Amino acid sequence: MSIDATLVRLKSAGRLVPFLPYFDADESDLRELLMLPGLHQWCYESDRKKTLDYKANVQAFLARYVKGKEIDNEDYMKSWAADVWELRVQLQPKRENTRIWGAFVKPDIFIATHQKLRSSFRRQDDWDAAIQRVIDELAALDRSLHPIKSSPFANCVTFKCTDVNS
Amino acid sequence: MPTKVNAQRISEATLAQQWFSFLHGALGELQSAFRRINKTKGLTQKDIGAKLGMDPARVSKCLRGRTNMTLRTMHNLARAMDCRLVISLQELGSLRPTNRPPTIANQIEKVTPTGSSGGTMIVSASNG
Repeated sequence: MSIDATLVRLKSAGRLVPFLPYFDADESDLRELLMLPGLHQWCYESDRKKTLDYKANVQAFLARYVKGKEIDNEDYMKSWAADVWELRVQLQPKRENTRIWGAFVKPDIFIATHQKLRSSFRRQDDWDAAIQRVIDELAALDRSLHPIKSSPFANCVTFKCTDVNS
Repeated sequence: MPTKVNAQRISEATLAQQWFSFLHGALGELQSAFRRINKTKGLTQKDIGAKLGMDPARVSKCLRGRTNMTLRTMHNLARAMDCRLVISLQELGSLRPTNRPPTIANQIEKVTPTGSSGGTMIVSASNG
């Protein structure tokens, strides 16, 4: 089964949920961001003003990717071992800084698996565990899903991308 | 007779997301402007700090989006890069869906949430 067919099947089954931010009339989704249902729910659940702003910031940050805005592989997102990426949510106070983990399974198609506060990463083991979790979650979705090569950046994001390594 | 204004309340969540989209748009403009000016004129974060009397570490944090910024800080950073932070209002009615870029892989057309009756704020950092 092709990757496209696998993704359609996983979306139909509700095992992957497309992240769709607010669009103005002249905006659309130019890149695809798929999430595990738990992460998608986390992105939208909020109960008071502070959480509402916190989550709105996360959504707006992710919207930059989905709407095809300029992104880079240093400040916006960073690759780790095994071609796993973290999305580094910006405009947040340090102690609340969130990292969203996942991998590209096709150019411009990113599967986000989970999020963690930056402050919870202290030892190498913490990063290793986050990386392994992405690989495990992808495998649990479908054995055919593997991260594509993270370098060069254009292999993952095909337009409006700044590759700081080139 | 003027057309009656749609007075439907915009939800707090929608307004919050639009506000943060605006801020992220402004941050993206500042980052692009810095990369461009750093490349063409050799302007560094240290130079920007010196111009503004600001700690270079704080300049770095701002330009990397590692901290929250006020509009005033964005304005100051733009000026230090010989740019002007521009805010203009654009009527949402002038944003034609037909100008929308094609969606990915034949996806079903997304429905834009309703309730936005005002204009959109455009921000850009332009030279001069």
